[in-house]
Amino acid sequence: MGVIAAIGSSKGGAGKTSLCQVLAPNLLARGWRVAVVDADQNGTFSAWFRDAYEGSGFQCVHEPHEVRAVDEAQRLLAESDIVLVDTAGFKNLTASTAMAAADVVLIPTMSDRGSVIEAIATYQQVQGLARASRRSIPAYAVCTRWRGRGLAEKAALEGLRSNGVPVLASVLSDLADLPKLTHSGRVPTTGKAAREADQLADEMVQLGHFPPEPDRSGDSDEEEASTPISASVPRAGGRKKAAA
Amino acid sequence: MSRNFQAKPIVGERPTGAEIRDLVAPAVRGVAVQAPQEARREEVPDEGRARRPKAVPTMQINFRVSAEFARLIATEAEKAGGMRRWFAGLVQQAGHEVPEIDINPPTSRREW
Repeated sequence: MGVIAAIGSSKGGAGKTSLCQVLAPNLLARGWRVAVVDADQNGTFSAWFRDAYEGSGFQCVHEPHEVRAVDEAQRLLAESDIVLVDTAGFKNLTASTAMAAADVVLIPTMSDRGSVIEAIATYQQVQGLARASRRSIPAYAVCTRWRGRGLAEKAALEGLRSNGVPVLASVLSDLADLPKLTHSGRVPTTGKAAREADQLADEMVQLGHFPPEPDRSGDSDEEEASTPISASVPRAGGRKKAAA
Repeated sequence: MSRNFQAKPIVGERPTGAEIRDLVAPAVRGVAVQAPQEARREEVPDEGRARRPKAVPTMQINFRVSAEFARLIATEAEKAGGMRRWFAGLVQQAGHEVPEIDINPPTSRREW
């Protein structure tokens, strides 16, 4: 059974699309079947996916309508392990229905005060949606553009925790790779950005919100046997194998 | 397989988008709708502003073309004295009535 993970924050520029851009290809590289619903009217993710992204292997649908975005996510769930829903950076109905339909909500937040305030507001909004839909919707703040031991980061964590917002231990650091990939379309599947995406995925698995990492070694062996060497490309599960 | 996988808060069949929207309606009252809606224009009484001439409403248009075609457009538009003027001329030649403001657009260039 797959999961819908909504990425939402009422603050624009908090790192929702960046998180989605780095997470989707890296989840794919680990063997999960991934799909993305771009529920942002601006269509930043889907435009990047269409015009710049150089990888392959996952579907992306741009659907900003509040009902159809949820329906699309559920349709994609039939053939995916994880469906990421990238939402717009303001309080809007599509983000609300997407978060209400999600199994887990990730709230990217930077260390500045405005981001923290909006992350708290988004968390409270998710709680309200959970009450309205009469179920629990786990939500976590994900620290983005993070600079380790800075004072702003310390204050941001205090602010989030004192308001009862659970914060993931995994962070997305302030790396040059992240804005760079928006231009090049080349998502790093090695190096620090990829490691951080892996850590986030592992943490989500440990928390029980992402399904366990699929073992597709049997599948790839079969495929390797039937695929000419010249046509074979690195694919699902390849990174772990290479590391081993 | 991880033993603590627990993300099954939705038991049975997932509700559809419409069902979710209805379910959360009380919690999202007044929240902005994102998908394009029909434009609504409020009429504002114009008293006290009559002396100020009304600007002709304009809108920004844009399109994607190949680099080669873009160069051709730039060359021809330069000859005509601007892209808007050139397009207006072409449309006029095609037999349409083009507003005067588009045939001879006011210059916004600072000349001092």
